Amino acid sequence: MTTNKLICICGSAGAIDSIIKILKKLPADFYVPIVILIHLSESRYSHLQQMLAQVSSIHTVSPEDYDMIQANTIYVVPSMYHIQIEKDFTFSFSLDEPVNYSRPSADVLLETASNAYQDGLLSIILSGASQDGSTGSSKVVNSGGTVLIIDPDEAEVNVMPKAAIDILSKPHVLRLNEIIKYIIHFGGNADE
Amino acid sequence: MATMTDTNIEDLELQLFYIALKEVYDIDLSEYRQAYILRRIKRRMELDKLNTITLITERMIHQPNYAEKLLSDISINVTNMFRDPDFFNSLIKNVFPILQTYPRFNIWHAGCATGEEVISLAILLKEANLYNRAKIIATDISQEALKFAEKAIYPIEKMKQWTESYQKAGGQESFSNHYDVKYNHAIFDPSLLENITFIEHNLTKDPYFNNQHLIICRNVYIYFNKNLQDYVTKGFHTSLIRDGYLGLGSKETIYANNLFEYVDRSNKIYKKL
Repeated sequence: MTTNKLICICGSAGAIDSIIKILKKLPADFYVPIVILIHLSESRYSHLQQMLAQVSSIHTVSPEDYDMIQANTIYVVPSMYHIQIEKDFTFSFSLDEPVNYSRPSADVLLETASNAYQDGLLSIILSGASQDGSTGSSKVVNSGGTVLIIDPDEAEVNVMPKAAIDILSKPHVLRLNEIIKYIIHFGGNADE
Repeated sequence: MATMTDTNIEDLELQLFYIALKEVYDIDLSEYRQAYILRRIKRRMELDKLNTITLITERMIHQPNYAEKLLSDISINVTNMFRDPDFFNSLIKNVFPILQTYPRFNIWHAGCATGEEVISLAILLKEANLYNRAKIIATDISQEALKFAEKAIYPIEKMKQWTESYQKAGGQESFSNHYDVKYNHAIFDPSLLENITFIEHNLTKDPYFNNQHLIICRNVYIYFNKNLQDYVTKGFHTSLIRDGYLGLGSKETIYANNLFEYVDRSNKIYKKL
């Protein structure tokens, strides 16, 4: 079943612990789909996907081209390709050059996700070592969506959250436990 | 008057852009997947400080060179040698033994961009003593990319990564046997190019080159909608000889039924049914 809401969680260095903490708190019937994008080398990706699938009680998969984004599912973005979300709520991939030295790039994910989901998009910026995700965050806000940024003091590497804070006029900066509460409130139940 | 949301307006503008591009330049992007095209158009809007897609369309209609600029924004010519080494390794294991049974065979590399993957294939064929039996057609829509491909000269900085990939792919020799180094560039052995013909060609219009034993078309389908993918798949099916092979990119799948079967599912190598 498709939904009119989506959650995107983006990070790189130091983000994995936070993601594990988030996933452990989400119930098996958590409704809104979640896309997780972490910058990782190709060799570490399959390990990450397996690990998150173990930690999470929600169905966790690696998205394929043309997969329709479904409720109650976690999508862990694979390495090598940019991932995009089409307006018909399917995934697509591209091999254009890295953005902010990253492929997959959070900017690409967030720009296309905000086009598709508009104000139904919640995006979370976690710990990370690049500025990737900041431009995308401003696009999310311009489309009516919500961006939550982890408190840079709590981030293992604060470049990514700081870049997102700098670009937004009214950034929502939260501690991880507040982010988790927000996610549960936002996505626990079926669309209103 | 009915009000339109911003999304609807953008969709309308994009449709008008597609119509103009088709009318003026005979290029049809309407069957490409939208997210990528939209990203590229928006990047061009930012660079040229234009606020709407309609202003892009306006320039494209009135300025002869503007469409070329847009198309070069949209086309992707970045690639690597032995990208996805497992794919090439699977070709060696699953397809080369069949090619071995033909005294002469044809290969079509569709969407070869700047040539890295077709040179990779040539290297592996040469090491398997099959190259002299091969007639390879390498096509791409970009003439600019093909000019680059025909030279088979690449920056020396790439060689470290490509050497690793070459070894993973199942390369038999030392990778550096296949190129000379001059002026910080790797100049690949010209004999690798002898049996390759580079041709400018629009796959979406005319997906046919007959009597192919193997067609390789990687990371092209990801930009097409299912309808266009099916059209090209049917073209490939017609172009292949009986029992011919088709290799796609790692994220690509054939949706059309009854045309192909898997030879190697994880490496997206198919055989014609």
